Amino acid sequence: MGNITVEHLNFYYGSKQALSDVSIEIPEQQITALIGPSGCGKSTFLRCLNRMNDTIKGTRIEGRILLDGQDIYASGANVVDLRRRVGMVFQRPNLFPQSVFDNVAFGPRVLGMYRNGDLADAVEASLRGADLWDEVKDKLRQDALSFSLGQQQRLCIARVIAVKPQVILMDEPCSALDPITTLKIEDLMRELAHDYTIVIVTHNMQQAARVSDITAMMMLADAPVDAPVDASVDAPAGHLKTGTIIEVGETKRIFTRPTDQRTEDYVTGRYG
Amino acid sequence: MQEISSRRYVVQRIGFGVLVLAALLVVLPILLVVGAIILKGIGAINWEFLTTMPRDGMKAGGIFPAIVGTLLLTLGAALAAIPFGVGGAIYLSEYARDTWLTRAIRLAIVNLAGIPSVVYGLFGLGLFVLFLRFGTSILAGSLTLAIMTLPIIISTSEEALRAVPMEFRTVSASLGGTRWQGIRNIVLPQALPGIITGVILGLLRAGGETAPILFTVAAFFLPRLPQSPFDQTMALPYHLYVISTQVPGMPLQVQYGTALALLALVLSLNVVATVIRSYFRRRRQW
Repeated sequence: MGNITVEHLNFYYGSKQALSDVSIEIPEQQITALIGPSGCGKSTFLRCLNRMNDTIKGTRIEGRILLDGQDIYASGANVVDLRRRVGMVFQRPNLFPQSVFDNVAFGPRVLGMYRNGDLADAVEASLRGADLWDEVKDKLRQDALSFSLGQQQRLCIARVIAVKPQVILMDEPCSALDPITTLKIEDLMRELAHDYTIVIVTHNMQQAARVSDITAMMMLADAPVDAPVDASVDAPAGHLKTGTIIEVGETKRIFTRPTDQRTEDYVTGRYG
Repeated sequence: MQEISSRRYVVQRIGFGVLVLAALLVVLPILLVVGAIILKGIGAINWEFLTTMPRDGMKAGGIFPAIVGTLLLTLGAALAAIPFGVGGAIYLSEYARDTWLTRAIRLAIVNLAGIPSVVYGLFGLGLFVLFLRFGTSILAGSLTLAIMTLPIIISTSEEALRAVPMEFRTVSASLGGTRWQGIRNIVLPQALPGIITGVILGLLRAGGETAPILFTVAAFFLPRLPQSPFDQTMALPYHLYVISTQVPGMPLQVQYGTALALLALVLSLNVVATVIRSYFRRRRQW
């Protein structure tokens, strides 16, 4: 469970097209890394996968995103349930100013997942899942914001797995962390990949190479001629560059034998 | 070179002095007012003054019914204004989109805040006392004060809600929370100190007002406690007005004593608001 298929996705902020003709197969229980230069739409794409862009006014989407075969943008699709199934870890740790326990229990509580006794067990299981239990088991009532950034980010991961998602989206989860802490989170990601589908946006190419199974290279490019162009869009078609995936493949191959010249330039550091 | 730079410092010193003076001018009146009232009124304050009925055409006895009346009116205004005020603020901050309706609501709030208090009094007389037939009563007076307090409560509460980082709402949504669950569990608790402060400040203004209760509830002389929301009551601000202007031969000390009681009531609420605000501000970590 947790298999995502994206078909010919176009995405607009108002009249400005940000993504065009993005198609990718994200396999379950693997780690898929999205790499590419700043501003190419990696985060925008990631946020399409759990419909977080819905909260921004004037956004619009074309094409289909299937989660286990079901269109998550179909009319009548349950957004709140989708966000439970597709969890998200953000760039900076963003815990609520509450205790460790209350943070991890937030999701299960709002979703009404457990009775009280079971909730404590579920919180423990989630903290164990994030390799954090031994560090915080005596401090469950302590303010979550009093922990180190690395611990906070793992707490965010624990908070996400507490709602039993199928997919975990990570938007540059290590960009605020030092290298040692980063490695810790990467180890955790490898463990989590046994149970969850993981999609990670990263600027750190070593990270993508170390941690992911599949790598997708994104870049700003001229919209392909055959891409569906919406008549209501003001910008002249093909003139503006929009984000798209230019190459997808097994991580090892992308980093050793990319087929697209632009990918090769980027992963070897000649991009600019 | 030196000439010019030393002149710059003289200019700065003068400017600085003027600014300090301006700031001191703000402090001076409050010190004088509070000081004078305490000095002249403290002699009147004793247990009997605070807890007994007025006697002798209010020239003797206490101000107990006026204190109780003011507390009841403030409480009544709170009961009516808090749900509507905070509810309206939540709507404006969390749900409302920028439409003509929202703009109209905001315009109404701004204008409501600018209406002179005597106009509220006449409005309350027309709507609550006469049209809704509440009579001159605690109910009519409380509702009038509540309407006067609404704009303060709404705007301070909305500000407090907006100060909570957007991120908390996003994270709540990303964990499968509905919008309301995010507001109820995260945003509202975070905004609560600001909301409480706003509510207290609004009520404090209401408690000290005379004009809105003039036609809606206040009794000239009523030496007993109200029995129901439909009773009239005495109230401190109006009582002070009455004994200062309407009763010949009123002992000055009783007037100052009453003013001191009103001032103490209002200022102590103010202190409570300040303490709550600073306590939570120190604890806040975002």
